[in-house]
Amino acid sequence: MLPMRNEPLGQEARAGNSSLSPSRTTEAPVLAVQNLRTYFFTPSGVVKAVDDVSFNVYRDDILAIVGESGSGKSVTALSTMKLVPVPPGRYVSGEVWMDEVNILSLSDRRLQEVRGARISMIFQNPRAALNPSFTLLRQLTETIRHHDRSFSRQEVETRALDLLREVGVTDPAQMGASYPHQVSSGMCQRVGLALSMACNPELLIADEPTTMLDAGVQAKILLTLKRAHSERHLPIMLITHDFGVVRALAKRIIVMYAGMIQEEGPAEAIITNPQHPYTKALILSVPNPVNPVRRLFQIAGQPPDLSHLPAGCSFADRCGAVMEMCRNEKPGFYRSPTGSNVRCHLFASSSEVRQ
Amino acid sequence: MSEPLIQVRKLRKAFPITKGLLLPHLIGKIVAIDNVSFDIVQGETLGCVGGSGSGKSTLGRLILNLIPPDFGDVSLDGAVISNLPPKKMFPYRRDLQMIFQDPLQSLNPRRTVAENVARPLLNFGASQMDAFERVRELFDVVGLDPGHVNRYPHEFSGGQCQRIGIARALVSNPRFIFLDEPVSALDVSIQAQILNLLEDLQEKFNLTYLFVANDLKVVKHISDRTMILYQGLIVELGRSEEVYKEPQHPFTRAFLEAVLHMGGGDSWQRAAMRSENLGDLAREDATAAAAAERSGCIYYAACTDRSNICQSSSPELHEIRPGHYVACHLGG
Repeated sequence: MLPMRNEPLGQEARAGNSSLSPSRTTEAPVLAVQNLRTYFFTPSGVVKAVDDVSFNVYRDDILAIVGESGSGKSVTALSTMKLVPVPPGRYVSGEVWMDEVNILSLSDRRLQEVRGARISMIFQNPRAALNPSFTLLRQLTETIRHHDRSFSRQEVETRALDLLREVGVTDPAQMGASYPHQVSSGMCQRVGLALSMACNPELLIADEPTTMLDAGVQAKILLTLKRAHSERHLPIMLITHDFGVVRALAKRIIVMYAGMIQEEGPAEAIITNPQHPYTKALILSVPNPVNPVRRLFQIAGQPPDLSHLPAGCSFADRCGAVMEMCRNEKPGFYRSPTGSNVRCHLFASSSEVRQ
Repeated sequence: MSEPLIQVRKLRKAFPITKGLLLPHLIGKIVAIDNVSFDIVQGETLGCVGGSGSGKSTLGRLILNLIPPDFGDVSLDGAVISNLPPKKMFPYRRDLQMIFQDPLQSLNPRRTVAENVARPLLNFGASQMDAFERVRELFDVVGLDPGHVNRYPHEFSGGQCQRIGIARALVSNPRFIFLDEPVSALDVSIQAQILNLLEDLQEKFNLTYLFVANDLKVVKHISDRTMILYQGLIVELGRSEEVYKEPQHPFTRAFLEAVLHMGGGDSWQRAAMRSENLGDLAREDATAAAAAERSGCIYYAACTDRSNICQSSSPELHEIRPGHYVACHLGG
């Protein structure tokens, strides 16, 4: 259907499979990010937005990347599609593998065959992601035709209407004739999802997909996402700061702070039994209606300036369990008792996972 | 409890929908607030939740007399303030303040934060010296460095800007503050800091809050009482604990179910599926529904427990137990 889809791309083909992580050997990941460093070179210094991040996304995965603003979660997502503006950004090191292709090494032309077609994305502000001067249906048909010219006009339209139906639009013909400003944000997000699935992608990146929606609409959009995941076997990389959303969808979690992965592991384990002091503090600071407290737990201070990171652990200044060595030495990445991997000196007695 | 500070009586506000660029003509109305009455007691926090388009922000703006109501009135300490012309309203202004959602956008980028925060005081005739002295004092109270008063808003982070917004609201020694989604633009860790600060300030200055938010978790945490709005109507009002534990109105129940919990559970999925089964999709567009004809219960179309009476007559807000009000025929 889409030419070039599964053909190996000769010159960019992978040289070898040198750095396989232990889990990778069992099942080939859809996406493998290795030692990614994305820095921004600004007049006031080098901002290390993503600093040595490695992770895999598997076929049946919903991977949530959780963090606050400035933690590097969005830059990580953009880097996987090579969408970070260069300059001021630069991919200082690392690879993003999808099958035999390192996305970071692709030319702009080759990238067009990946973006939208193999990896697609939905955004936080669904209305801004749509073109205000075209009808919803027109935007869908345009996307389908852009990636595959072999369809007839009629076929394209049928496919577009099917996609709208799939994302839960009850009256696709009528809805398709509307412009973005005429429909609700929830509807815009559905159309955004339909657009992102137009080319049968192998991976969906959802960047804060429900942050701007109210609770009722949020639940419905999440359900639609969950269905897309299970019916299409579509792996999802979910970028969010909301642990409620994470709990509802995610199978695995990566917690980021100051451009680094601080904790990663199964969703259930991390939410019910967080190990890293930052993850613990973050979860505690969300009001819990079931178990109310009189006063919320608060993390003191501000996140660090990414252009002047401290010598030791970047969370040391705000950490309740800070030790002398935390200020001088960068912590390694260790296996915790719950099965998650933690970047913290407290776990130094456990086995180290990888650099 | 003590005397009500704010009394809202039969408040109603509708916005016209017009068509045509050169010769606009009226084609309908959006009823934003429909016949709403309640009190806010001195020193309490009244939380107000509802979906987008439910009239939460309009309600706050009506109370502050920023827009005139179509019917009904608002009184502050027994004196009616709605529809007062600006000059007569002026003395009440210092008692009523507001904190906004987007902390950076609500500050003037071309003025230093000291000028931003001191503005209300200067309006009330304070000298520049006194005003700036008070700003430095308040910076300390809200947890900012008083040495930073001469910086510009863009030099501060989102959480710090919200603290500046809070300082500005406090500068005139108000009695009532309308908080319009004050933490929804902030990060989780900063959210907790600001919520704790707001509670401390309330205790310290005996403030009364109307706290509007989308996030029920936050409203539940900070509010003494919670009010649930649905398309401009109060559907339920009561002590937060009670509304949360024993919601009486079908909308409140559905709304609570859709909220995502960190404790897990899939009640949100049930809520989403039920709403889909009801063909409620069009109703994601709350404003379109609000513009429609109002007869019978406003929640009829989406209600799971509806009966015949709900279609023909609209339920009044009534007290089902002390302090707990519900607008539902099937009540309690």
